[in-house]
Amino acid sequence: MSTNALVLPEAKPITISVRELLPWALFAGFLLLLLMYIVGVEQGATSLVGGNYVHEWVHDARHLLGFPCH
Amino acid sequence: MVRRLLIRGLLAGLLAGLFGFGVAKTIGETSVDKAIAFGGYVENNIHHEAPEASFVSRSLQSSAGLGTGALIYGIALGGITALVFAGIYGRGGLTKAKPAAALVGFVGFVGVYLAPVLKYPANPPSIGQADTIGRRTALFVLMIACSIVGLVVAGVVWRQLLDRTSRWNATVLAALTYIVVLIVVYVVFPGVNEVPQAAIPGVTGAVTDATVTFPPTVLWQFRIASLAIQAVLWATIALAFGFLAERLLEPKRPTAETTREFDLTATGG
Repeated sequence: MSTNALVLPEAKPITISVRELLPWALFAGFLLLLLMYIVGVEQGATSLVGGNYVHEWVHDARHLLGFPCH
Repeated sequence: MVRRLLIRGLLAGLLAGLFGFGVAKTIGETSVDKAIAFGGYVENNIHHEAPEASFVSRSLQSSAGLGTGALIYGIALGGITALVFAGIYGRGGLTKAKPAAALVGFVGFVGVYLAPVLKYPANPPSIGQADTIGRRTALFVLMIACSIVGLVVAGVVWRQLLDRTSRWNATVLAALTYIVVLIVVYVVFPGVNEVPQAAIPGVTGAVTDATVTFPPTVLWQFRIASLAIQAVLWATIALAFGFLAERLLEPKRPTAETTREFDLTATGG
């Protein structure tokens, strides 16, 4: 059986250029890290909005996700 | 393309958050409740103090609060996974979306959760002094940062070695590089232990309180639950995002079946 009878073109994988990725990585990355900060750290070691409500609300998740608390 | 990957990552993260919440609710809350009861017992019966008033009731903390935290964290992890995936896909021979996503998920789980908590384990309520929260948080976040630096170094080593040796050797050496970085960081960083431990002469000194010991089985259950939640989060993101990314990046590739059919028609003629 001939092996080169018909070669279907392999789909070439797309590589995303650094130029395209960088603004996303910086902007979205910052917002996503901010979300993690709110769940993990806010009103514990540091506090941006003040008070204790965020800490109390996500209390159980913060402990169970492995962040230091109290 | 990055936007479309990011949306898929956030969706995978949402699903992961839901699963993570399910695991946390079913196996995590038991030990959290026991740990809080332990704290109450110590305050009432040993220190004879009134327990602190909480803004949010326990029932809200263990349901809506836990759910909010798990979902937000899951979504954030999913988004970050998508961004990292966008950076590595198609590079270093990572040409298939599903294995590439699985790699990001596995490496993320080890580097962002497992390695840091091996040094600074997850602790339930009633463990941890209020006045050391700043130091403990700083050490934990720094540990995660160092672990990520280790991963980046290992990634660079892997990429360099791919041209010179086999894929297997490059992977083993990259993993060893990460482990070496980790060992150095483990040795340099100070240990933290605030698990209440009564003094036992000749065995151990008192930790935080000379008269009480936190029940070890509750601590074990809590830490295993934490591990399970994080494992489910990362695994769900890796699998769900891999599935979605494949449909986006590799649509309708010829399957083995269709390729064989073409072969037969071509050779049969």
